Amino acid sequence: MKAIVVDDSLPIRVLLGNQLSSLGFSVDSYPSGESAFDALVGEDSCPDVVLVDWNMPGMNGIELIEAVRSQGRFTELFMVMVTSEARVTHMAKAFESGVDEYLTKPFSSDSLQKKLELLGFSWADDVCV
Amino acid sequence: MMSVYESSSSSALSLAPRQQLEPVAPPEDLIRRFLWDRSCVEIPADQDYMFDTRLGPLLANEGVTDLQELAELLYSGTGRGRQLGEAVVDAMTTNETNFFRDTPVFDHLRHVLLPSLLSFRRDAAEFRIWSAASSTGQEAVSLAILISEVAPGRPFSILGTDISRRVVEEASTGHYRPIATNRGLSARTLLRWFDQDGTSYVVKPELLTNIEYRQHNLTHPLGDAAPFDLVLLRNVLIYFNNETRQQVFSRVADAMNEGGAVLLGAAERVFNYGSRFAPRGEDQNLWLERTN
Repeated sequence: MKAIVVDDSLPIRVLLGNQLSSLGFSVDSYPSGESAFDALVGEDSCPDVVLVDWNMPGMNGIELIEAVRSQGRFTELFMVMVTSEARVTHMAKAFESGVDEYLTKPFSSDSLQKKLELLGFSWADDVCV
Repeated sequence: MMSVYESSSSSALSLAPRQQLEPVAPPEDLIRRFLWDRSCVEIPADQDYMFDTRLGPLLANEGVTDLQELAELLYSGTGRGRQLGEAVVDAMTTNETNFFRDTPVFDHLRHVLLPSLLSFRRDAAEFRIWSAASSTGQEAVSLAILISEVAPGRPFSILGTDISRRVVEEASTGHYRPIATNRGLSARTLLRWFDQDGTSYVVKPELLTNIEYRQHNLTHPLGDAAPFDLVLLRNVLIYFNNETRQQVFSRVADAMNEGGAVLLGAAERVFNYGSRFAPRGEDQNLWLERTN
């Protein structure tokens, strides 16, 4: 399984990367929406899930999601917004832009796994965050 | 039952003034006995670490020096001792939970068990559910969401009970912080069934009005709330010994309609449920039918 993390915060990229690795994902991380978009459209293969921060300099998370969704081959790609924006109005806007799930910061160590389970990912019993 | 304290002049005194007593057991055993008397929760000796991990923050917050002083206060018969007793029961019995805990269990409920029970009880004025050991209410709210989605418009009520007064009060507010809703609740479900309230979310009134929370010891009769069609008794029996489990099952049977269902925790295998239940389903979908 492959995951992409997009966040301008290095500690968050490391945190999410470690958690995803422990769940069996190979992880590529990008510090901006632009770099993630270029990488996504430049690759022939498609990741299984993309985790996107909302507030980033330049292309923000919403713009990245809309740009990715506009590419025909990414319509089925799972995209999760991971953000400190916790208001329901923000969640509604994120869903309109095309995210599949929404995780608010801060989150406990098992929250990411539970969110991914909601998207249909599953693991053997001995894998835990 | 012999007291954990013994007087120098007579034996088997309980709740007697501290100054007349000589402690004859380590503080872990004193608190273990206190917890058993108050809640029937049994802390096995190989889990003594829980006294440090769970009571450590309480000691610090309350300015209590160590477990020995805490034990003495619990048996002091003072108002301070009673207040600390509530807090000790809270700390030792309250566990983290999450919405829709154990996805396979809720999938089975949604697609198999709940439709079957709703059909069986189609003539009942109200479908009644008991969330036993409901903690901060995530299971009760999950059930309310589930039944509202499976059978829109069907009248139902959910009783959540817990030994801890604190979590009952917390659950009754219907408020959850984002770090709690992150755990098991899809954001789409949150948008459908919760409202924003400051930095928290609150369960919509149309759901919350169907849920009542009550402080209750599972070994005691439930009283006027019965009878129920579905009981969730998950991840709580592990705290009881065999004798207490049988007592709990007897109380649960008393509180149910015939043909109703009891759901246990996904990993729980309990065999001493008595003669009033029959096992149904298999593996993770095991449940008990109230037969007579």
